[in-house]
Amino acid sequence: MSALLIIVIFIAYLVLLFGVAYWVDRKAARPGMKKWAKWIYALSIPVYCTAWTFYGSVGKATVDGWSFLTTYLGPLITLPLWWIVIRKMIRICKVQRIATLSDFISTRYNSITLSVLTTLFVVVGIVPYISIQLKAITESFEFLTDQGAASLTSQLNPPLWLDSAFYLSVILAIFIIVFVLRTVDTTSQHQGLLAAISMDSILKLVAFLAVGIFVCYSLFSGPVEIFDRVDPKLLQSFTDTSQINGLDWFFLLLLSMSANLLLHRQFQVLVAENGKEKHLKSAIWVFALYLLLINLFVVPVALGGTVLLPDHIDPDAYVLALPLLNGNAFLAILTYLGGFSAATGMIIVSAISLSLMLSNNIFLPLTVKANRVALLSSKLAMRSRQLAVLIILLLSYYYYRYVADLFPLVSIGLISFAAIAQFLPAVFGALFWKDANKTGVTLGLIIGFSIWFFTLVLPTIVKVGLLPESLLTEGLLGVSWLRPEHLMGLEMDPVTNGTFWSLLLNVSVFTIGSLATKQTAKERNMAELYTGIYSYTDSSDEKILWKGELVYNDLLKVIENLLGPEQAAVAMSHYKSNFGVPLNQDGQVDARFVNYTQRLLSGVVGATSARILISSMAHEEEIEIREVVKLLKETSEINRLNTELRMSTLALERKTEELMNANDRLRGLDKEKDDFISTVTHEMRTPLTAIKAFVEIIQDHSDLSAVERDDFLSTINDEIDRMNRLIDQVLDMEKMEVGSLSMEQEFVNPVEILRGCLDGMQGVFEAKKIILSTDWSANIKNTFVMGDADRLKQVYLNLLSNAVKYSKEEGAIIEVSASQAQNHLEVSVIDNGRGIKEENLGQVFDKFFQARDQTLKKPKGTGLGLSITKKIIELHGGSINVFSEWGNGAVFNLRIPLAQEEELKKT
Amino acid sequence: MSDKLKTGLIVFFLALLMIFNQTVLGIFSGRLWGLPGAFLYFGLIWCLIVGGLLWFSVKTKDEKES
Repeated sequence: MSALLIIVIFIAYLVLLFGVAYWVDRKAARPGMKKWAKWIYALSIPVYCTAWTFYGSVGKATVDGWSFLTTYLGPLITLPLWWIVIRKMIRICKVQRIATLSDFISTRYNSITLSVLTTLFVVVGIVPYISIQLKAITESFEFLTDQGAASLTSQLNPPLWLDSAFYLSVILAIFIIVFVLRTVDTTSQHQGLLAAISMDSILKLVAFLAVGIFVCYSLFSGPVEIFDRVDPKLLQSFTDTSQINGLDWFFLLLLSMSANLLLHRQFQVLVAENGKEKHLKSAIWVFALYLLLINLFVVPVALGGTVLLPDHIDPDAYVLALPLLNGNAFLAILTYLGGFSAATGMIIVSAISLSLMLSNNIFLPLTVKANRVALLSSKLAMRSRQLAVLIILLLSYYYYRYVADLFPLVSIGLISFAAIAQFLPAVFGALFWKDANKTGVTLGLIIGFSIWFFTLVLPTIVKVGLLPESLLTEGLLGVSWLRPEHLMGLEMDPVTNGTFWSLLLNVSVFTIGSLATKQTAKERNMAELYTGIYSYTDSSDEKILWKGELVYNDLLKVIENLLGPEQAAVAMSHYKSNFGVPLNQDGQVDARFVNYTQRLLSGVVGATSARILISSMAHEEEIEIREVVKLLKETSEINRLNTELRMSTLALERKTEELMNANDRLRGLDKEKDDFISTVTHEMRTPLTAIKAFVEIIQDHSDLSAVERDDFLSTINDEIDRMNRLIDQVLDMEKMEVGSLSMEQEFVNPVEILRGCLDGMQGVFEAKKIILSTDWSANIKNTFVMGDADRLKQVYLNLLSNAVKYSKEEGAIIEVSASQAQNHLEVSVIDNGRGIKEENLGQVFDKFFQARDQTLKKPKGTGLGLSITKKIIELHGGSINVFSEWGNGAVFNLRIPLAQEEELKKT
Repeated sequence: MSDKLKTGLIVFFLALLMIFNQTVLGIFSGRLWGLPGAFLYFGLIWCLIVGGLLWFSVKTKDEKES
């Protein structure tokens, strides 16, 4: 493939990346863009997946089987902890305006030495990591242009001016300096940069999935064919999981877990670039899904490569080599871009993060220490960051040229992971252990990094020939238990060996050092702030003690130099509007203002430089531990009162809610009562109106015939009966509701009662030409229930009357059945009338339901029958249900518990 | 953050640590439907984790921020 074409694509991609970043930066403030912020944030987190993932995972899988997956399982395992750990880090960094891991550690332990140490350790640990990205881009470029593996087997370093990696480093440095490092405030979110990184994430995922699908379904007929054709020995490393070395597996998981939480680039995107804490929630599952997808085809691609490619091809290059097998140039270019985006995303974020550390913790403090405070300006801060970017990329290039080129991607990556893991005790101590102190952390880091260097870095130096081989075989000074890769004679994997010893000694020294030495008052102060950050979010400036003399104008001048006059004026006016003039009676600034300005300056020059700056201008006084204790006591007292207040408010809210519920219930009952009275009076008025009308007719028309008079009197009598029934039922209902209805409790035969009711209504059935069908077995006739015979009769008559009332004019059928189901009697009354509409089924047992149903022609009755029926059945310990379909009749089904044989025998 | 939620998340973390332990992985040796058993195990568990985390992100209430 033409080198020129690839270079054009490479430049075009960088321009596109910049274009996206620029466009998003311009639109970032718009509401439409804000809703994308959480997805941009979520998709920037896969910056974790670098060229190591893209090329190295396949290489590692080919050589070591499943162990490649630990790099992704580690982060996956930590995801539930993000809401506890990362969220706390985000809150601390926002409150304290912290943008880097070294500031995070040095601010908590109040130590400038620690800030320098952490910066140096991070740079030393991460430069190899950046170098493997350069290696991946360069090798993939050479592979594509050579269309073969010739360049991969060549280990000779070309002259500098012919080395594509050198030009790549310079182009990336220029890109970062010109397009990325444009704002001086380190704590403001770089939405454009995040969007570009998100684009990188999408591209590398799409490219890898495309290669995976191509290999599985174009070069093979599916993943199963790959597993069938692969060398059985190699396949065994995937099918025989009992072969996995548990110790190595655990330490690899531990390394990737710590890397995911603490890698400087993860810190940058996860913590420093977080816009809102709630964005973390969606980021958690999106990242888990991303890791799943990007690992889906690693094993098929790795095994497919071993089947189809010649042995001399480096497994790290399988991803590129497979598309070239049948000349798929488009896929090869897409793959190259995927790998390129994976590497550039990492390099850009790492360079930004490391340049901030170097500039803020080394260059600027040196300027202040050299009594050059007047020189400090936003321009100088920016220049020092740009210089740092150049230094980092050149260091990475030289490491790649002389060391990394000789090792697989993964082994160099793991060395960097082991370096980052050394920060675990310091960071977790900062977040959760108030007694952790700078002595413990400093000693722990020094010993941890020394062991890391001895066990993991030294062997790489030996392997490039800069130190004698005997160091590895015979040990330091010829002492065999000082062999770097097998310290203390333990035969473990070199990475496991290095991680185990460095972390063991680091944690031990950190713990013992913290317990054996005392914290300073300032340290204690920051420990309280870090561990209890959620309590101090709005009042951190008041909770940090500072004593000394500092002239307002001196401070203002430095702020104007670093923030610019406009931003400084805005910041000062913001402070004055919230807290008033920051001067005490002696014309000196107060502690709150010093803390406020220190946080402002931290955003520009980092926490360490800001601390040094303030110290260089002020006559600071020592703070005593008792003053911190007093402040903490006050704080804890305030917290206690706040908690009590919160509890009282909660209790009050609960009571209010209970009262509101009771009030609602009362309102409901009141309405029910009004409805009841209104319906009863309405039902009474109807017969009364009819009676009055007929009485008037009889009075006014003396000439009525005897037959007419008898008809009218008969109607009057019917209406009086109706009123009587209504009054009886209302009284029954009332008694049932207050529980004063008298019920006989005796053994009665429910089927006999039913039969009596049916006999009684025979005349009605005949008059209305209703066909009655009954069905009950012989044995049911001898069953008994404990209850009241009259009330059961009332129930049956109600149900039968209803069935008659709603039956058809012609061809009406009523079926009555009784059966025994377990210890219950089941009686069903079925009619083939018009039925009940579905929406009314739930209300048929409500009082006066039929009276309220205005959509139908009102049938005869009070509307209390079914309600009373239900109550009576319930008083017998039973239940009643209705089933119906509009137009197809209704089924009323009641169940009453039967008396047990033992009870019957007793009587 | 409530203690209940914090405990739940820590238990979730410990559970993940346990199910990705070598001893547990050792159970999934051999092939199933032509694919390595571990391949299917990782895939299934991973999908469940994504589902669990999605559920957490939807159900957890937002808290006051700085």
